[in-house]
Amino acid sequence: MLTNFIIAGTVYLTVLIFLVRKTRLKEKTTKSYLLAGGNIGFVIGLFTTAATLFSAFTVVGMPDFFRTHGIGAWIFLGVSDAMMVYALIRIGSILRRKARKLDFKGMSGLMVNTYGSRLAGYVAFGGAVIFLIPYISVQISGISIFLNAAFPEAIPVWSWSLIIVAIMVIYSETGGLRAIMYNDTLQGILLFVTIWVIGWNCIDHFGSIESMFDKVQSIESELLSVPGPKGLFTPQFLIISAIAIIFLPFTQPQISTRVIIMKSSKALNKMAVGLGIVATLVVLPTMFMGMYGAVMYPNASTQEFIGHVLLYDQLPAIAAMGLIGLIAAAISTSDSQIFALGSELRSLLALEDKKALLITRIFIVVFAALALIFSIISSDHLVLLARTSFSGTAMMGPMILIGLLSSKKPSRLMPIVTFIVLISYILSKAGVLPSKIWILEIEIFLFLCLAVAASIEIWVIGTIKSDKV
Amino acid sequence: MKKRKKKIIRILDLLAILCFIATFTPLVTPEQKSHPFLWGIPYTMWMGIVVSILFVVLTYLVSLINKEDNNAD
Repeated sequence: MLTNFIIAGTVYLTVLIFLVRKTRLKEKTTKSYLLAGGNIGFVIGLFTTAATLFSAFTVVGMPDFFRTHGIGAWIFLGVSDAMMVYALIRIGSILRRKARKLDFKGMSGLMVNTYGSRLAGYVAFGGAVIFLIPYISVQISGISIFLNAAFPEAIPVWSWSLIIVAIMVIYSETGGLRAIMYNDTLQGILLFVTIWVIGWNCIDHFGSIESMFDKVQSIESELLSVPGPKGLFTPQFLIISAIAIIFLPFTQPQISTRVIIMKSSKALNKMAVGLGIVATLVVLPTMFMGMYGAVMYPNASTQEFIGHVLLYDQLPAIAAMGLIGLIAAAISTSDSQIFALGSELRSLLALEDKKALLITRIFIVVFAALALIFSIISSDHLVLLARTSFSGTAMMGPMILIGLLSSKKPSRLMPIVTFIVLISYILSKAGVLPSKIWILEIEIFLFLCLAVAASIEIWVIGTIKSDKV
Repeated sequence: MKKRKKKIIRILDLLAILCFIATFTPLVTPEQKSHPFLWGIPYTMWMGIVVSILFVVLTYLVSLINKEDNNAD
């Protein structure tokens, strides 16, 4: 298998290098380097957003989630993603309008301009850094551990992490966002094809979808309903996850940047519809993989199960493609997130463009190094950490939405409440504050606090006109 | 024309909110119930797929309404 992997890896790297050369920027400005010229068409926009959205957590975490907790995982991600594209198309055009009016460089800068307060920008930037870096790290470490398990004799885990981070930094530094987007497109297509070939093989093992579910029912019938055998998919869990995912296009800077730099509203509309279809088609085969695992490897660890479903139970050529697909999934999300953190920093810098860009590029390397260090020391609870990351950034959602929808400068209420809520959430995750308030999960309680603050801002202070959306 | 467009958007928003609420009720996610199966697919799974498709259709309808609105460009 190592030979197949080396061949597939060489082809993959060759195409990456070709795309880096093609997108190389001689003259780097904020617009060309950080915003890809602000002129992205529908196809590139669709694949880059999809590749950014679907990370290693989709390829590794979701099949394992289906295997362990059952078909409720579809509501957790498949339905929530579809809800997200509706939010994207409804708020996307308002975000674009505001971004163009206020010379968008990043969401943090946009918040400074809309609120007229640097606190809003710092909260948006701080939230992004705190919740994205651990997520990037856990993806890199997850893939590195997996590669090490697949080729134990090759190189140590940290070397795989270093190679992955080095690839990301090299092409991000060379071609900026445009290079990332072209590579995302390649990686998105690769991920899509790989996941379907493997998913199809899983159904093929049973002969049909019907016999697959029959078999699952005979082994563990609770996998076919919510809350699943371990009781994870409660309504509260699913609601929190849905809210976290719905807010993604506005709270995760790597996605909001893509919404803003689409070349027209028409391209954005097509991208949103396409993303809804692609999201459904990407999550579906992970369900086939999960059900296959529930029957074949019900008691295996995540590593063992993923090893079998992606590698050992596949033909060598498909296994090599699976490995490359997995690396592509991790890289395409992590590079965008690291780069977006750089853009967020740039948007807060009031310096001459050349100087600000130089600082940004240095910090992209710093963020990548931080992610690398965390990846070496982090755990591998991929899906739950992804969900924590989504929930954490989603808590900035109401503040960002008020900023976008406001017809006049909002008060500092939302930035202050969001800051307190984020600190409370971190303290709760650290075990300092309780994870439940009465019968409510801490996330629901904190979202309710934000909803109260947003209501005061809208109806008492009166920042938003009713016909704005 | 603009008023009519706004009205349609409001209806689509209302449908989206209803779909959102229904998803977390026993209508879509009944506890420990996998029947009735549809083409061998358990209830919550096929209802979940229906909800996903509904949201994509709603998104498509919004895109049709937005088609002539080029304010952001």
